[in-house]
Amino acid sequence: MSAAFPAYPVSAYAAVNALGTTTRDVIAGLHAGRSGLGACPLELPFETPTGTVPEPLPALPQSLSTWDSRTARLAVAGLDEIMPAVRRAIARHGADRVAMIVGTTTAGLGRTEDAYHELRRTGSLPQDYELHRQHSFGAFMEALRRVTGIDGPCFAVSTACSASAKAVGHAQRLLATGAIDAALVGGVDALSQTTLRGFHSLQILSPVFCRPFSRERRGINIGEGAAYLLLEREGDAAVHLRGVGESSDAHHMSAPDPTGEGARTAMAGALAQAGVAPGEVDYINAHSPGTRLNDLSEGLAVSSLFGRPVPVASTKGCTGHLLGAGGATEAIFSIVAIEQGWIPRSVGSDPVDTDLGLHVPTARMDTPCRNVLSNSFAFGGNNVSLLFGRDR
Amino acid sequence: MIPRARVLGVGLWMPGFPSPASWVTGRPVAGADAPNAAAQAKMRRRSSLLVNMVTDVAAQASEQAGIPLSRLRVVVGSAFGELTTLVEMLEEREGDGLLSPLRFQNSVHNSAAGQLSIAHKNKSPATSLAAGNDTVAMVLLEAMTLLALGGDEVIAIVADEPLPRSISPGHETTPVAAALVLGQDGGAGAGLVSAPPLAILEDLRQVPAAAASADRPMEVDSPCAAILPLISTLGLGRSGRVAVSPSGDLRWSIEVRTA
Repeated sequence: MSAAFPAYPVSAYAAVNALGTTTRDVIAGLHAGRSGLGACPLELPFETPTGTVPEPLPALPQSLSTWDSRTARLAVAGLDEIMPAVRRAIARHGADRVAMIVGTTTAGLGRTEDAYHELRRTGSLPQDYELHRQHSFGAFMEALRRVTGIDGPCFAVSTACSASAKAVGHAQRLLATGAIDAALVGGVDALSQTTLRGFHSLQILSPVFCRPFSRERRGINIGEGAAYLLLEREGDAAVHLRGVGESSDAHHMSAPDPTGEGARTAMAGALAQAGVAPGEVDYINAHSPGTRLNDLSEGLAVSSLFGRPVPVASTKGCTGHLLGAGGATEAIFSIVAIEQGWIPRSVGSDPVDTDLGLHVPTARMDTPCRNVLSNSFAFGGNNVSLLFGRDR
Repeated sequence: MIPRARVLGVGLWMPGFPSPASWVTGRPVAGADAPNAAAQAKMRRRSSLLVNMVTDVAAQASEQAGIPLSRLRVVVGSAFGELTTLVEMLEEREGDGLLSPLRFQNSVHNSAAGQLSIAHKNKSPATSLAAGNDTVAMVLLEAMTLLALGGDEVIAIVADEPLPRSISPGHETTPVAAALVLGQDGGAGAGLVSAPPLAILEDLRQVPAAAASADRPMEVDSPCAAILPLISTLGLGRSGRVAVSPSGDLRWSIEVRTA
C-alpha cells in the first residue's frame, strides 16, 4: 500500500503527569510499570484514587498571573522541556508558520468551581476571578501563546477524551495543506470537582485503582497532566506521525458503540492513510480506561481488524485517565515504544479478561516496534487513532 | 496556503434574527426569541441553548445546500462551550453535591457536535474547537483545510450562549449561532452537489500582527459574533475582504467573491 499522506517527524516531546514532573521521570515510571495513582487531593463524598501531578506545581510567571488556574499552571509547566525545540522551530520557520493546537476538556474549570463556591458562600465572586481570563478555552491558550511566542493558528480542541489526539490530526492537516511548517500540539487537563463528581454520577468511577482489560475491572480513575509534541514538515527525528484516523460512533453521548465499528473505522483510517497493513503494527496503545463497555467495544474493534494477537496495553493504570491530555500523553508513550523498543505492561490488567480475545501484556515486553497505533475514544462517540512509525 | 471553498448554504440565529435574511434586513422579527429546535425532538432529551442554536443553524444551512446533515463533516466552534449547563452543575454541587449524569455527559464542549452526529446517524469525523476571539477564523481554517485535502462537504458552525451573570457579572453578551456549508472549489472531488455556490471564500489569512502580541483584547462580547460581517456580505451578494476576528483584533480575514 502507498501512503495517502506524508509522514511528519516528531521533533520533540514532553510530558508531566502523576508519574513525574519531567519527561524522563514519566518514561522511567512507565518503563518500570509503576502506577502514579494515589489518594485524591480533592474533598469528595466518595472514594476514588486519582493520578495527581506531584507538588509543587510552579506558579505562573507574574506577567501571566491574571490567567492563573491549575490548568494554566500545568500547561505552562509542561512546556519547559520542549521550549528549546519550539524556539528552534520558530527561528527556522517564523512564528507565524508555527501552529499551536492543544486539547482540553476542563480549561480553567477548577478556578470557576472555587469562584462559584465563594459566590454562594459570601454573595461575591473572588476579586481576582474573571471568566474570560481564567476559565475560557481561549484563556490558557493565550498564556501559552505568550510563553511560546507562537503566532500561527492557535486553538484549543475540546472533543472530550479524544481532544489532544484530535489536535494531532488538526496539525497534520495544516501541515499537509502547506498552511504551516510546524505545530506544537498537546493536551492539558487538571483534576476538578465537576469531572470527578460527573464520572461518579455515571457510575463509571472506580473506588480502587483502575483495572483496564481485567476481569476485575471496576471503572476508571481520573488523572491530570500536560503533554506536547512538536511536529515539523522536515527533520531527522527517529519517529514520524504516519497516519490519523477519525470517526464518529453516532450512537450515544457517553457510551461507546458496542459493535466497535467507530473504533475500527478510526484505526483502519490511520492505517490506510499511512499505507500500513494491520500485520505491520507491533503494538496498540489502547484507549481502555477500565470500563466494561469500552473494553468490549475496543476489544471487538481490535480483534476484527487485526488477524493476529498484536499486543494491546492500556497505560491508564499508570497515569489515570488524563481526559484532554490523554491522547498526546499516550502518543508520547507510543513514540517511546518505537524509539526504545519496549511495550509497557498494562498496569492493573492482571488477571486479564480472556473473553476479550486480546493479547494484553501484564509484563513489559522488550521488543522492537516499527509501527504503533494509539487510540483515543470520547464522549459524543468521537474516535481518533494515531499511527506512529519509524519510516516516512 | 488555504485554498478556496464554495459557500453552499448559510444559517443564522440570534434573538430577533432567525435567519441570515432577517439579519441582512436589519429588522428584528417579533417573537423570534428562541431557536427552532424541531430537529432536536428526534433526540428525545433536554438540550441546552447551545445545542438548540446549533441544531437550528445547521438545519438552515444544510437545507439551503441541499445536503443532509447525515453526510456533512462537522466542525463546531464555541469560545465558551456549554456554559449554562456548567452553571447548573455548579449549583448541583452546592446543593446535595450530586450531579445529574445526563447533564454531565451533555456538558462537554463537543456536546453539540456529538448530538448532531447521533441525531443524524452521521459517522463522519466531527470536531469541536475554541479560540477566543479567533474562534470563527479557526473554524473556517479547519473547514477549508478539510476541503483542501478532499472529501465531502463540510458544515462549519459557530455558537456561543450568553455569558451567565452569576460567573461573569458585567458582561452582557448576545447568543449567536451561524453555520456555513462549504464545498470544494474546482479541482479533484466533485462533492455532493453541483448547484452554483452563493459565493467563493478564499485567502483566509492573518493580517500583519504588529499590534497583536502584547495586549490582544480578550472577548468582550460574543466571540462568535465575528461571523456577522461575513453573513452580511454573503446575504447582500457583495465581494471584498471581510474580517472574521472581532473588531479591534483584525488578525484574521477572508476574501469573499461572488460566484
